[in-house]
Amino acid sequence: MYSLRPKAIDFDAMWGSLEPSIIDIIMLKPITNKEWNYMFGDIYEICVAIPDPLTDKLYAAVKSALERHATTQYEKLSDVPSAELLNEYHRLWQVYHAGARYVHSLFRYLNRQYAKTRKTNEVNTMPDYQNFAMYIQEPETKEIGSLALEMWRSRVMCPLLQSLTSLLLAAIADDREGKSVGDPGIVSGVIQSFVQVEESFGSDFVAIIPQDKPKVNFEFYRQSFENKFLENTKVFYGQLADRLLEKMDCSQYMRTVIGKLEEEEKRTHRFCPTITLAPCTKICQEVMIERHKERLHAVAPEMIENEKTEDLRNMFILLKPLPSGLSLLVAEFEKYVKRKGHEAVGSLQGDTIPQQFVERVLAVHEKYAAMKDQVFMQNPEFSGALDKALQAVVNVREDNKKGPPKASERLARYTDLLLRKSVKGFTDPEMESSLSKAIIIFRYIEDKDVFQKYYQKMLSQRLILSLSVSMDAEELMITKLKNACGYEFTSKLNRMFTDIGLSKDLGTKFKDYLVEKNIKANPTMTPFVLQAGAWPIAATPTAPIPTNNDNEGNTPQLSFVIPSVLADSAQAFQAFYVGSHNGRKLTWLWHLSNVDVKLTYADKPYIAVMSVHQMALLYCFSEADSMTLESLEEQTKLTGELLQRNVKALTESGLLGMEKKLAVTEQLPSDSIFTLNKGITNKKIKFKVSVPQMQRQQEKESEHVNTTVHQDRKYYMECAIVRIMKTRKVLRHAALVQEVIEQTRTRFSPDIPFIKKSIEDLIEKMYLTRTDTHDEYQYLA
Amino acid sequence: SRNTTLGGTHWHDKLFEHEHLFGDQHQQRCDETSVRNLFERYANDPLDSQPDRIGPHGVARLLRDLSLDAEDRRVLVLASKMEAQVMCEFSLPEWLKGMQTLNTIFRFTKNAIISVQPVYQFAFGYGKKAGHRNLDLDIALVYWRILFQDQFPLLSLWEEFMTAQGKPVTRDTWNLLGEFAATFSEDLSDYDEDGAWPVVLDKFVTWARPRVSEMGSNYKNI
Repeated sequence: MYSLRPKAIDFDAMWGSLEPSIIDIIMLKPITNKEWNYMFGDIYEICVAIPDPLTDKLYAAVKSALERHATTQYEKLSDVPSAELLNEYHRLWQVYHAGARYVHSLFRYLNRQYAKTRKTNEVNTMPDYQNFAMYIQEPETKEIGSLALEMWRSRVMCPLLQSLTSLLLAAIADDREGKSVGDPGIVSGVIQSFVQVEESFGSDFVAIIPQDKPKVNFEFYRQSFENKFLENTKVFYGQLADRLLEKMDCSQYMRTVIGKLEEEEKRTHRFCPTITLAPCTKICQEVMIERHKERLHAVAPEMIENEKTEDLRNMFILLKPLPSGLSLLVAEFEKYVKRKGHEAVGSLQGDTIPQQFVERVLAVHEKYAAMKDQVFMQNPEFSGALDKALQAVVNVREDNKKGPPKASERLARYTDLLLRKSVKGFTDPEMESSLSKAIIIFRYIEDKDVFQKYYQKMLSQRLILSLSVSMDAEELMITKLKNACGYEFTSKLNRMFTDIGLSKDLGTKFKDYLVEKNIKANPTMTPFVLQAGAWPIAATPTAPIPTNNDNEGNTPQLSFVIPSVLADSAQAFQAFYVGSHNGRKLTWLWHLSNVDVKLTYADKPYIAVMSVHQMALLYCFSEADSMTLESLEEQTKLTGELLQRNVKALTESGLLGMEKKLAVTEQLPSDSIFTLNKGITNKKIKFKVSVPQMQRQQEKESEHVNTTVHQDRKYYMECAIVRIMKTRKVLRHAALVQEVIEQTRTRFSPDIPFIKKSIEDLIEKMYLTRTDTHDEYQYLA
Repeated sequence: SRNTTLGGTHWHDKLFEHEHLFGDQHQQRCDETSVRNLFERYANDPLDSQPDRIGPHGVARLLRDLSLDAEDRRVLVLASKMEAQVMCEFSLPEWLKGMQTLNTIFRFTKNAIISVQPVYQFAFGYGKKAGHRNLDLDIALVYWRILFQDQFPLLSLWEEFMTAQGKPVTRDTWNLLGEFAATFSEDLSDYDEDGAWPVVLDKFVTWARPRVSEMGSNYKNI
């Protein structure tokens, strides 16, 4: 063992024995543990020698020894024929690199001395940028490992740089041509050496301070190899692309390029450091795609047109990495889907237009959603394009773009058909999926408020006439609408539901009441009490109400005379209801009421289901077997078209006979005579008398919906503006318009003139005023 | 942007021509007695039914004495300075106030330039029937002619357009038209549809543009 105490030493003698051993180590010649320890000890002693440490002297000696050794290595290589140069260089480098690591480790003490001084300097000067800047100039001294690498770089690599680089590039070029390059490990190893000479070996004590982790510096690699490599790549693939395009069509070209890109990526990965991967790929994309993208763009419409999924997929893969590379493809896709959609819904005919419409839009949606998923890999840009296209299809305005979009009405009718009792029953999952499909279209609808109006009307019919396939299905649909559009949107629908539930309870209570009070009220009745406002009926009777102004003091509804046989029940219910709900007013909606009428005069005890209006007409025949239209009018006070249609419905069902047949469209003269058909026969015991469709009822319905929707929108719009202005107080025109669109989006898409008109109306009503600044409004409290 | 003032100097000169009407107040202090005397001269005209006011016939006489045509722009300026509430009528307080203002203007500025905007905005309330919110179209058309003649190159197109619309004019439209007339070039190429202009002006621009370009050269000559 030796003492750690510093002592005077004979440097020349010590170095004389150190130097050859150091060279042995760097050449990886075996040495004993003991030798290593002695050397380590000698280095220590030199560094702590008295009277003065000889560190600097040692450093200089090591430097020149390494320099000499490196030069020897270069001399060895300079004679090697170029075919062997890479191999030989690689072999020597591997040895030198490993040896340098050991030498670095041997000089740990020295390294540490230098590192320490450097550290203190750095810390002290850190806050002062100028001092720091001075310091980042290449330090004179390096750790011994780095010194060794530096020697290799300057004495071996630099003089050989030219030959090494061109040999490497040639090897890579061979590989690209598919020729063998021998051991690929050699090529990548040599390339790796460009990076490794700039690395530092680090040491345990340096690593303690994390920010001091040696940063890999790629500067040398970049300047001496990567730049040339990338340049080379650019030329190679640029030429390749030109050659390929000469003999290939676009579809082949794209396939080939994808292959080439993959190959080159693998190649780069195999030969080069990871940092080269990104710039290399970028260059390949630039020369093979970006440079020729016009050609790809040129065939894009045709490929979309023919739905060439493979080609489109390839094009997608190729164009996606380019900056906004997909925009043309996206636009073409949108255009195409839009056109297909318009074609699909452009030629609807017949009675089943709503179903056709929904099914065809769905088919388009399904098809192109699949395309978006499979070909365009669920890319959000394509999702957006699909949505835009379908929105345009769904909200298309027919009649030369003047009429309102029909989608809301059609979708409502479609759901109505689903939710109505029908021969064709749905299983629950079928129903669920059909309703979900309706929701897909619903989301595309711009004027959701129009849909709401139609839906509400149809729901009210289903509920009142008990036509719903099931309450569960109805509720499911409302929940789906609520999820899509919010609570407010379905609140009226929910209130309608509540009314039906409450009416059932009320019916039971009414029965109990009759028993309790011992009131005979035949026939029994099922009451529906509907709150005004929630239902679309009270305000808008679907059947015109006969007006008879001669009938003094009576409201128009009462001008219809209900059959006396129903009066008892009605009165009993009125008394019961008003008695239990003080202050409420009941209005009877006879035109929506149905009765079961048992025919006692026929061969079988038929039960005919008919409206109260029809029953009133039929009931007239209790006293007489035949009557004129005029006297029917007199007795029932039904007039006009309502009378005509209901009488016709009764004759068509066979309940009434007429002396001479008239065409359906013809007006019945007031002296037509009708007779009770006692010989009526029907296959079913219970049958339904059709409720007459009032002339152009659907059109009237549409018209009505449109006007109420307009009023609602106006109101909604003004509320939105006032709400916004109340919070903002002062707002620019453009910002206000933006916010209004945002707020009304879930219901409808207002056009700008409509918004402006509403703003002007609010200015008139003194809610807002224009400020002195142009284009700005202020809220008036 | 167009010159938004009216030729106030002219109407200043006119008053000077009729010095005898106003005594010598433009040289000395505004003398309330002589202003009152002047009021008495036109108030309570036997043909007018309103007591203690200058009624329509009195106004007509005043205008005759001033050699002003009833459709002269300066009449509206006068009314606006008086802050008159009712068309063709002046009350004593209005008269006193107006004369005071005019006197001040003449005494301190030799070349009185009267800005059109206040007069224009005044005209809406002045021409509007009591209790009405909007200005009747026929009156609006007359005022536009009075105020915009030679000032608004698209006036005749505007008149045509508004006549076809046939609707009364809201205050908002009225005010913004004043700004509109002073803002945009004659071919309307710089009109901003995304701006806060009232819908009726959007419509007018859409309607007028093709016509303007058709008659473009004619308009430039005006």
